[in-house]
Amino acid sequence: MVKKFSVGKRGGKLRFPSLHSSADSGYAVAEFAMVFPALVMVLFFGFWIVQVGLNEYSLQTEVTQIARAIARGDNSAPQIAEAAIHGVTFDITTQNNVTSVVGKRSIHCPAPLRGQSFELKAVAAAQNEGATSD
Amino acid sequence: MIKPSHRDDSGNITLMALVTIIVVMCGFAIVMQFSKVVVEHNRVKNAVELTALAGATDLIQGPEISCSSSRRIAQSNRIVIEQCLATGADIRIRASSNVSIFGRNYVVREVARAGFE
Repeated sequence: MVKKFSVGKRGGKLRFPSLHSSADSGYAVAEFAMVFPALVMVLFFGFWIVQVGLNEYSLQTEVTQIARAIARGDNSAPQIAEAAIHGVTFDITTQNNVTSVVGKRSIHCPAPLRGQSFELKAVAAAQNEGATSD
Repeated sequence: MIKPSHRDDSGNITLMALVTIIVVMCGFAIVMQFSKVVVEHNRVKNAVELTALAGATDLIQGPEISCSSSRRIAQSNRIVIEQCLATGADIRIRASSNVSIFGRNYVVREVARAGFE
């Protein structure tokens, strides 16, 4: 049986299989060029989401530490100043011997949604030390 | 006998990329849900520590008042106290919070202990 696309020497001429006709050469490159940016965008967006998660995690920790420091009577100004560098704003209230800290960080959306932003929020409440409940 | 295809293979990359994008997006959805749990764990851990410290502040007034002030702080920190054990010089708090993962409820639990030396 003679195979139409066999590899080997036949008739004194070395033949290599050719699965692509000249008509469709370049399709792969063109398609790749079209889908590659989409793939990059998906990856970029995914990493951005992970980064948002990390930001939320650190915001929670910062807010808790500041609430604890204020409740203990420590100077929390350096911690607040450090967090402010990263764009965090704090709303601190003390009521009934309970210190409540609300931390907010604005997150900007990546390239396709540039200009839009949303806010991450973390809340922590701590009882002031030295004070007892009513 | 295996016959090689004579068909036009244009569109293969598009299909492969589409499958890859779907797989990557599913992966990120899983990572997103997982990070949601990690963030909630961190929040509950921090909140339960503050709750235990509040209870420890009032330990001298007895276990009832100690647990009561712990509950007050827990409420402010949006966690639910499951167990409050105030014994002598220390207080042990077990608290939880719910987080929704792929539409299913997942309970995040943390324990903290505070007291006098």
